[in-house]
Amino acid sequence: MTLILVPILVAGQIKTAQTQVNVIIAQAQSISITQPSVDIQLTQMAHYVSGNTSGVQTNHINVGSTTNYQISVRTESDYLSFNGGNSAIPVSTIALQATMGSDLTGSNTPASLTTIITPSVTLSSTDTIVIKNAVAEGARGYNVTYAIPATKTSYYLNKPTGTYSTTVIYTLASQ
Amino acid sequence: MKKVVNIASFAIIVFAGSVASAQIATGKSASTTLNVNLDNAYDIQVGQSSVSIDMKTPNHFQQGNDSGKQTGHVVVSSNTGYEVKVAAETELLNNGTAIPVSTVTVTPTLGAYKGAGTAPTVADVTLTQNALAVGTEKTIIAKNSGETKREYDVVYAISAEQANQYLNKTTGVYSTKVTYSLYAK
Repeated sequence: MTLILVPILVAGQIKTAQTQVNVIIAQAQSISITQPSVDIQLTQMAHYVSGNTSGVQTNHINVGSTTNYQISVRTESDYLSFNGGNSAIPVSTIALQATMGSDLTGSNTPASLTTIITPSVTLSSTDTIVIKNAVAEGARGYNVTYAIPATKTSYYLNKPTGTYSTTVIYTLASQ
Repeated sequence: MKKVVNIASFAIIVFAGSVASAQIATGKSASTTLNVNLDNAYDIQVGQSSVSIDMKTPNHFQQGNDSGKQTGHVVVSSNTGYEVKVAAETELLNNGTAIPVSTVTVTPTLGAYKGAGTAPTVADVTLTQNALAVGTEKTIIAKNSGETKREYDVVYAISAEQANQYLNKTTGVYSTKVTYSLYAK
């Protein structure tokens, strides 16, 4: 006996396969600083007379957050460091001025209208909120200018020349 | 007779190099290094470009005369302690006729503070009256600490003792150029 095997195709039916697609949603947050080092010059008399700024640091703060968020800022010390030790110059002589920056995802997503930016924060070693009520977004930049106002330049008189530094720390938190 | 004292000034500016360092972090917090590059800076200005002392009445020739107070005549900005010195370019000259410039004294007094914020201490300032000299700088202001836009008022004077040096001279304008120089202290 001969068995003849004939494939049978049923019109309208094709092979099927299935897989399950899982989207795992978890909180994810990141913050980075675009410019690792920022300078303010006090090298000309006009700087001492009128104060000076770092100029605008474009998209200085770069944030991504799956939740609404706020950002606070502090310095590592209440005084600028000089030659490996603390100087007598307080970091409160410097103001941080933040403004809305760019959407950094490439999608030109407009900034949240709920975001509140504190226009000027006096630097200190205590966390101070600079941005709050920001809506979750993929990658958002904020511009920052560091400024020594004219009323604070007297702290820099009668000091050894050189570079006075501090580390400015930005912290991202869900809101 | 009339003498005109012309005033000129210049500034000494010193620059030095600066150092920058870098630090960055990502995650829930991130940081940047903020540097303030501080360097010496100096500026001196003279408020009045021309100052006159009249010698034209009998009283002037007997008791001398002065320019009156020149308010804000010398304006100093310095991030360190400083000295201001004054010198004359020539004797007082009028068409080749000379009168010793040493007959004129310069007397500074503390003026207004025009810088920002609270006026700094002036307890460490020393003001000295000096006679002008040709080519020799005389210190009239010395201050141990820096400040911005500190004004000094100045009086130029011919004393009674020196007034007779102006007798028997052709009438006219006798003038010299006076230069103030700023030095770091």
